[in-house]
Order: sequence, then structure tokens, then C-alpha cells
Amino acid sequence: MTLAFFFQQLLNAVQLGSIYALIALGYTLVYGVLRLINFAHGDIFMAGAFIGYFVATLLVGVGIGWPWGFILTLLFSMILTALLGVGIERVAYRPLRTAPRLSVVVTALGVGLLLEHIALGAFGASRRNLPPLLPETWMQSVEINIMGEYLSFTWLKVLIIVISLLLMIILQVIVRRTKAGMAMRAISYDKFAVPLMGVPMDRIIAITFILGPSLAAAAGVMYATQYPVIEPYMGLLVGWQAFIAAVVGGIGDIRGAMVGGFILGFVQIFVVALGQFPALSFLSSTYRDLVAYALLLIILVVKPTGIFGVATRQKV
Amino acid sequence: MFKKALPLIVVLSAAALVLTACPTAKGPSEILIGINAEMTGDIPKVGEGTKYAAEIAVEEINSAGGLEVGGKKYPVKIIIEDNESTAEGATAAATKLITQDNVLIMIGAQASKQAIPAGQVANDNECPMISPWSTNPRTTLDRPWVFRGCFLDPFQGPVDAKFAMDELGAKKAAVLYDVASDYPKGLAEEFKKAFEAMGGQVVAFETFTTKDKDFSAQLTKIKAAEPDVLFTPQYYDEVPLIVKQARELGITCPILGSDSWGSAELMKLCGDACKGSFFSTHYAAAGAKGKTKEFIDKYNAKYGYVPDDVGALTYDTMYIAFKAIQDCGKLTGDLKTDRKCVCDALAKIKNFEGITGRMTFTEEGDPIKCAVIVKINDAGEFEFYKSACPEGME
Amino acid sequence: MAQLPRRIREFLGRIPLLAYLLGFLAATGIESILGKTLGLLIGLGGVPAFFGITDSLSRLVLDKGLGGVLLSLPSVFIYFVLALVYDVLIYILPVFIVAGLLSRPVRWFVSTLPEWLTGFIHMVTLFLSLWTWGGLVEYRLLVVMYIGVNIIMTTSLNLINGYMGEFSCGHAGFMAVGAYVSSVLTVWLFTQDDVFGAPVLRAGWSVILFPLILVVGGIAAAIMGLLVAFPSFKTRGDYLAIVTISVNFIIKSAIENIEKIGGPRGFMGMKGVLRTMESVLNVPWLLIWTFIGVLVTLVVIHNFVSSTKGKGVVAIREDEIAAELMSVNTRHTKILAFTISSFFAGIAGGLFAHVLGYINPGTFTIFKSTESLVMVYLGGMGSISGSVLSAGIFTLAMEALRPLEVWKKVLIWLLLILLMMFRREGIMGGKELTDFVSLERLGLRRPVKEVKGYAPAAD
Repeated sequence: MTLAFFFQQLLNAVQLGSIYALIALGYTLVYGVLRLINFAHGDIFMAGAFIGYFVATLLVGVGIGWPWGFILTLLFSMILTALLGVGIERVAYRPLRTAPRLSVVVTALGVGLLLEHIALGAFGASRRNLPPLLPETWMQSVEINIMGEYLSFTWLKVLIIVISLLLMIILQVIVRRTKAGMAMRAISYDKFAVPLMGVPMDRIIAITFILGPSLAAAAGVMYATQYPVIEPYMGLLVGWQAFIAAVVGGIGDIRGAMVGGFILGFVQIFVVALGQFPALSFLSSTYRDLVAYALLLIILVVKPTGIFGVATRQKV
Repeated sequence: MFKKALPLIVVLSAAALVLTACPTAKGPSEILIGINAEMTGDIPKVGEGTKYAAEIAVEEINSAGGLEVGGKKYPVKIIIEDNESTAEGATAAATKLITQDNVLIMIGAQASKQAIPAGQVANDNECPMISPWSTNPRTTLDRPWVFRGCFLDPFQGPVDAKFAMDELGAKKAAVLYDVASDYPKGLAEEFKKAFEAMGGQVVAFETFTTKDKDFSAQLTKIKAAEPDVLFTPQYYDEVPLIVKQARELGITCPILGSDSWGSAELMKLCGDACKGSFFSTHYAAAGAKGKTKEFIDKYNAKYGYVPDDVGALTYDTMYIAFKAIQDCGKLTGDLKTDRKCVCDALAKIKNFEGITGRMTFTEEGDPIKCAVIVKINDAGEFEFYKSACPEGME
Repeated sequence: MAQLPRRIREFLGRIPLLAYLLGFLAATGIESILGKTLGLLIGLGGVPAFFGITDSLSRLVLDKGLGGVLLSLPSVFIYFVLALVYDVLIYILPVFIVAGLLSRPVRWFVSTLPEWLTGFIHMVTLFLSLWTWGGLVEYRLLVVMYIGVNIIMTTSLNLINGYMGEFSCGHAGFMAVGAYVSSVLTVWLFTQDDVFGAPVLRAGWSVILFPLILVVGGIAAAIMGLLVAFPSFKTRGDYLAIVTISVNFIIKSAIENIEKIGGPRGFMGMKGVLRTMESVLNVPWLLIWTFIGVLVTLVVIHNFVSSTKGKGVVAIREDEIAAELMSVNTRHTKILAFTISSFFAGIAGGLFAHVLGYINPGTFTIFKSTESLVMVYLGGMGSISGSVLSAGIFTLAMEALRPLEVWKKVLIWLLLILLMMFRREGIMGGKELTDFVSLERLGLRRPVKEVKGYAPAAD
């Protein structure tokens, strides 16, 4: 394995991981506040991509291109998807707030499946891709010479990584430095005492459902620029994988979701990449899923509450 | 209550005796064709193409007054069932069409994962079935009642390998395919076998899993192996991702694909990146003539896009079914007899001139037909490049 | 006149279950003789598959926009009314008439027999009526078997998710193990196959060994269940959910990599096994074994959760530490619960594989697991009769609403969400059917004679 090959795979892993991390954050935020695994999150991500597609088509149609076209698409898709998220919470989850936890989980599963099939019924089976929002040159490969071998990347990949990191920093600031963020953290510590302190539960939950889906929408738009196929089922597998990432990191913990996302990206890429070594040739890409999930299993056996998860003390 | 019920029971049983004695009407009033399609699930576009193409074929027949069998014209009616792109869905849909709706012949399922179990149902219930698109040999193997409308992997793989070696001058090939899907896997293996038998070398044989969107790890390995050609027998909605990511990573060699590339959506999704690539398929849409062009124009006018290969194959399959029913000569109305008659007629079809080429069924129910290699030209059209026929056909 | 409804209700209330079952049997008998003619006569065009729901919905015109839907509604309605006429004539009237007529004799008959025999007679009657009902249209038979498989899946998952309160979302993985192990064994032993060659045993053995092979598949799945059971000592809740998902992915990926059994191309030949079995004795083997499989699952899981060990399972759900203190060996209990659950998933897999005649790893993905999850919560956690009901309703709805095409799923998931909103604990909400209707009332158990100074405990 040459150095260029290693760095190339590292770049691949970071880019894949940053998207997983963004989606995983949505799971973790909602979980932290509501103790709800929002299984509809993957499909909210899909909805974000679809909304992004319609916004972008509109913008490009009226002649708004790079850079405003991209920024506005990202913004509008985040806003509209956040509205969708808040709406879902209001209509489907709020009536169940006192219900057993798992009935809400199954409602979330149902909401996700409903979104998928509404998208399929309403928009048809055709795959779509975003109209060109970025300049051509951003999509073309740029090569850097590393010790005689070339490392290729596109500015798009760099852009995705930068925007993801930026969003994660913004989120961190919101959660750490604002009152709402403080309330969110407080609720995740004790959801019975905090409302007694005068913290408006409904508003904090609404804020959570603004943050999570808007991150998913940003991930959706960026995902659709990097992987230009938008379809109703696109959120299914990515959603599950991001959920895994969130849990491996320690669900409910924001750093955990980021780290979990990157870990999943790294594992998926490097299980394939390491097969390059003759000694590790059993790690062919055929066995990727097998090895990757076995690794996750081991992580959870060693650290049963994920990497950042604190073992919950049980009251006896 | 019982006293009131008693006369009713008597009346009912009397009615039963009378009714069972009634003779049934002679001959059917219409011809029922079942369509078993992937309307939801992984590949809804395939289901849509199937539905649209079948509807066009039926409309054509019915606007001419119906299908003429033995001097009498019957209207044709299709019943479309969604198999949800799952094996159990395909089984349920096939069983419903055959045993409940009593169709004369079933078209589909399309993908092998669905067509194999559906074929099982058709064969067990002795109802003829044609799968327009399934390329797995097992769909028709040892099943006299099951036919297909396309060529098989063991034919297409070598065609691609030969093309890569002779026309593209490749000595080293790389393959990237979905290990969890039987169509790409079968084709990738056939390609590898043929390419190595011709003295070539497969330097990278990389896989991913269905629904993956990121292939950068595999493509980075492929790039390190420096192949002369990249063969990727994937579906049209994965190809843009593969091709774009390959180009981003600096892989410059020609990219070769299979008939699953053949969709109008490919170019919409892929843009410039796919131009200059090749793939083997059933027909070339650009510069099509005669009946083929007629069908493409009709489809395009009605649904707003050029039909995918699955649409063209379904259309052909519909006409094969029509021809078999006509060749049958007479419909008795007794389903068992009629189905047997249609099945026998299907097996006898010789040199059927379809829009995807001329075909004759083998004993297994597989057609012998030519493949064409298509080049994606700079205008983004699928341009005829070369044709490859099985031995004994020109 | 006002007395009439009450009197009818009282009368119907006294009819024992067996009488209803015999009524249904009679109805299916009448349908198989008269159904087709009656269907043709009142313009249904034949026997409606599921009480006419599917056939009336198929009159809906979906591809002409909202106008098309609205315009086609009257014809849907007319057809529905016709189907209702059919249902009343074929099912409802005969069921109630026969049940009413047989009420007294059956009550007497049941009271003379030992309880185990009564239970057996009930089961045989139910089986016969399902057989005649399904035998009329093979499609029904298939759906009945799907329902059976789903009941086993749902009930066994309910043990983990409902009774133990864990969140397992990889049940399809165990199903896959059972499906593959039993299919490979039956195909290897009893049919001519390209991979395994000539049949190893004589055809006669197939009839005897088939249930044993299903059990072997179940045991293999149970062993895989340990993969989840051991991490569950330390890992709980959502983390255990990830373990189960990972196990699901690992099993699927492993099968994909075993070329010998077809890899992603799948494995087939199970229909040949059935033909071999039918060549020995021509009875609907698969229906019989699915039926028995469902019965065994229900009995075993019911007995397990009512046993001392099983109470430990519920104790773990309520409070693991407290359970440990109360001398519940949580490790043993968890291992037992996971192995029992995955054992039955394996049995379901074996049956499913033989019903379909073809399996491939893509069938047993996380989405299949999700389906079982939905059925568990739909029926209600910790309710066996809820699982049975929801598996039946869900499977039947999936088939009966077919004509709605894509909108079928929109409707089904919408209904699920609405149901969760208004009945948040599922259909049965943790209760069993026997909480509403006593076994004595149904004639399944002899009434306890009241002894002076002793009141029978409520069941």
C-alpha cells in the first residue's frame, strides 16, 4: 500500500464518514431529548434531497447559479425539511408522548415507510438528479503528486467535508452556548425535573426537530450532489447505517454521533482497502459487510454503551 | 329462528342443484393476460416500463378490434400485479394471477430474483409464462411452461469480453459489480471466465452491496491495478455513480457495461461522464428503424421518455404471447386446454421478428437472438456500434 | 321487540366455539360446491378471493387522476354490495345457522369429552375448514400459509420485544438460517439436484424426516441466537438493537459468500421435496406442517411465559436488577429467551422456504425484520393472541389491498400510524383474548363446579 493509496482511501473515508455523521446527529439529537429512535430520519433525509431537487430546479430555472443557487438550495431545503420534521413531531409523535417508548418507535417506522411510498406515489419511479449547481470544474478530478503517485480528489468532496464540519461546529455552538441548547442537554439528564424548572418542553422538542431534520436536509442535498441519484428509497439503507453510527458512538451524545459516523465510514472503506495487502487478502470487498458488522459487534461487546455513551446508572 | 332458517336452507340447496346443472358459456369473452411487475420496492422503474409497454401493446391490439384467434376477435385485457420486488411478493402475485384471476398467460416477473419463484408457480400450475428480462438460466431451466424474452448471462458475458479484447484492445480488465445481486454477479463471472480464457488478465475483481452509493474504496483499488478497461454490469441507476466516481478518481480507461445500462435515464443522471462508454444490449434506440422506431416514438409521445430495454423487451414479449395465442388456432374457454395450447405454440415459435431482434426459442424456452454493442456518442445517444450473434445466426 | 337484540346476543353468546368452527366448515363446504356458480350468477365473475375486497377495489381506476378515482367509485361500491350479498349467502348465513343448530348438541358433546380431546377436535375442524376454504383457490392457500409463517415470526419476536422488553430488529437473520439449513437438508436428502446429486434417502423417509429437518433448521437458528444472547448480558436497549441488526447483516452477507448454496443467486429445489412427499402420500403436507408449526409455537411460547422461568423474562423487562435480586438468573433466562425466539424464527424460515420453493439472501434483509417488528407492535407487546391477530390482519391486508398499487402501502402505513395514535398499545394492548372470553364459555374447558366456600380464581 503506497502512501498515495492510503491518503486516497483516507479522503474517501472522511467524505463518506462526514455524511454519515450529519445524519447520525439527527438521530442522536432526537434521542437525547425524547429517548425516541426516530426511524423516520432516513426518510426525512430522502425528503430533504427531494425538496432540494425541487428548489434547485426552480432556482436554476430562473437563472440563479453558483454560488447563490447552491447556498439557497441548501438553506431552503433545510428550512422546508425542518418544517416537515416539526410537522411530523406535532402530528404523529406528540400525541404519543406518554405512550410506551416502543409504540412511538413503531410509529416512527410507520412514518418513514409512509414518506417513502408517498414519494413513490406522488413523484413516480423515475430517478432524478440535481441540476448543475456547482461549476463544472468543481466536479472534475484534481491530482496531487505524492511520491510519484497521484492522489485524485474533487473540490466537491472538499466542499462536502468543509460544510459538514461547519454544520457540526454550528450545532455544537447551539447546544453548548445557547439557552435552548442548555435546556436540551438538561432534558436529556432528567426529563421529569427540567419541565418543573419552567423549561418549555414543547418548544425545546420543536427546536430539536428543527435541528435534526435540517442537518438531514443538508446531508441530503450534499449527498445528491456527490451521488446524483435521488429516489424514494434512498434513505433506507443510509438511515439504518447512520443509526448504527449514532449508537456505536453512544446514542444521545453529539460527539458520539460524529465519531460514530466517521468510524463507520472508515470501517467500510478500509475493510475494502486493506484487502490490497497480500496477507489480508481475505478482506476482499465481498466480505465487506461481514467484517464491518462483526467489528461493530465487537465494539459493542467491549463497550456496551458505545464509545462516548455513559453507562446509565440503574436506580435500584 | 330455526323454523325461519329451514326453508332458506331448502331453497339454497335446491338452487344449488339447479345452478350446478347449468352449462357454462362457450368460449371466453376476452383474453386475460397477467402482468407480474416490480411496481414498488427496489426497482420501481422496471415495473413502470413493463406496465407502459404492455399497455401500448394492448392498446394497439384492441384498437384493431382485438386479437383474432381462429376467425374470432377477442378483446385483450391485462391485469397488473405488483410483486414488490420480493420473492414472496412475486409468488403471491403469480399465484393470484394464475389461480384467482385465471389469466391465459403471464408476463413477468422481470428480475431473476422474482422471475425464478414466479416461474415455479407458473410451471406447477401449468400456466405459460414469459419473463421478458430475467437473464438467470434457472428461470427457465427444467420448466417447460416458462420462457424468456432476452439472452442469457453465459451469452452476454463472452460477447462483452470479446469486445473488450478485440475492439478496445484490452489486455488487463477490471470488474466492479454488486455481489448481492444475481444478475451483475452472474455476468461479472461469465465475463471474467471468458476474458481469461482469451488470454486476458482480470487485474481487479471488486464488489459492493446493493444500495451502496459510494464506490471510492473499490475504485481506488481498481485505479491502482491500472486496467485497460473497466467492466461494470450494473443497473442504470448505479452506473452514473460508478462512472462519475471513477472519473473523479482519475480512472481514464474505457468503461464497458451490459444491457442493464439501457435506459433513457442513464444519460439524464450521468451527463457527460458516460459519453464514450460502451454497453451490450438488445437494441440501439438511436437510429432505430421500422417497427422499433414506431414503438419508441409512440412510447415517447405517451409517457415522455424513450423506453428502457425492459420496455422494449416487454413489448416484444406481449407480441410473442399474442402470436402464440393466435397460432393456437382456437380458444375453447377451458383454461387448462387453452394454456397447454398456448404453451405448445410458444415453443414452436420460429424467427419471430421483434423490435429487439429476431428470435427463436430453444428447448429450454430461451430465445436465440443477437446482441448489439452500443456506443454512447457525444450527443448522449445510444448509437449502434457492432452486433454479435450466437453461432448459426447471422 | 326491544328484547330481541339482547336475546339474540345471549343466544349467540351461548354457542360454543366448536359450533362456530363447524359452521365455518359447512360454509366452506357450501362455497366449494356453490361458490363459483353463485359468483357468476350475481355478476362477480367467479369466487372472490378474500370476501370480495380485492375484487371490488380492482374496479378502481387509478391512472386517470382523481377524476378517474371518483368516477370509478360507484362501480366499486356496486361490486362491493354484490360481494356482500355473496358473503352473507355463503359465509354468514350458513355459519350462524349451523352454529345455532349445533349449539346444544356440541355443548353436550364437548362436556362428555376430556379436555385434551376437545382441543384436538377444535384444531382438526379448524384445519379442515382452512383446507377446504384454501383448496378452492390456490391463492388463498398461499396466503393462509404466509399468515401461518408470519404468526410464528411475530409470536417468537414478541417473546423478546414484548415479554422481555428488548428491541431486537434482526429477526429475519434467524429466519434465513432456518430457511437455508432446512432447505439444503431436504434438497440434499430427497431430490435430484445439480449441486448435491441424487437423493440420499428413499422417498418414504421424506414424510417422516421433514418435521425433524425443520427442527434442525430451528436449532441452527437457535445457535445463531446465542450471537445475540451473549452480548445481551452487558448490552441493553438500543445498543442491543444494533447487535441484532449487525447479526442480521452478518448472516445475510455470510450466505451471499457461500457459493455452494447459490450465494446471491439463491437456492431452490424445495418444490421437488414437496413433490417427493406428495408421491408418498398425497395430502397438503405444507399446510399441515405450517398449521402444526403455528400450534406448537403458540403452545410453547404461551407455556414458557406462564412458567416460572418465563415470569423471569417479564421480570427482566420490568427491572433487571430487581429481578436478579429476586433470584432470577438473568443470564440463563436471557439465553433461554433468545434461543427459543430464534428457534421458532428458524422454523418459520424453514416453512417459508418450502412455501416459496426459492430463497435468496436478499429476502432476509432488515426490511423483512421491520415487517415482523411492525406486526408485533400492531398486535400489542406481550400478547400472543395480539400477535396472531396482527399477523393475520397485516398479511391479509397486504394481499387484499393489492389493486391499490403504490397507494396500498401509503394506506397501510397511514392506518398503522393512526392505530398507534388511537390505540397506542396495539390491538390487544398486552391482553389476551381469554381475558375477554373465558375458555369455559368457548367450550374449550369444562366449567368448574362451584364448591361451597371456594371461588374459582379468575384466569
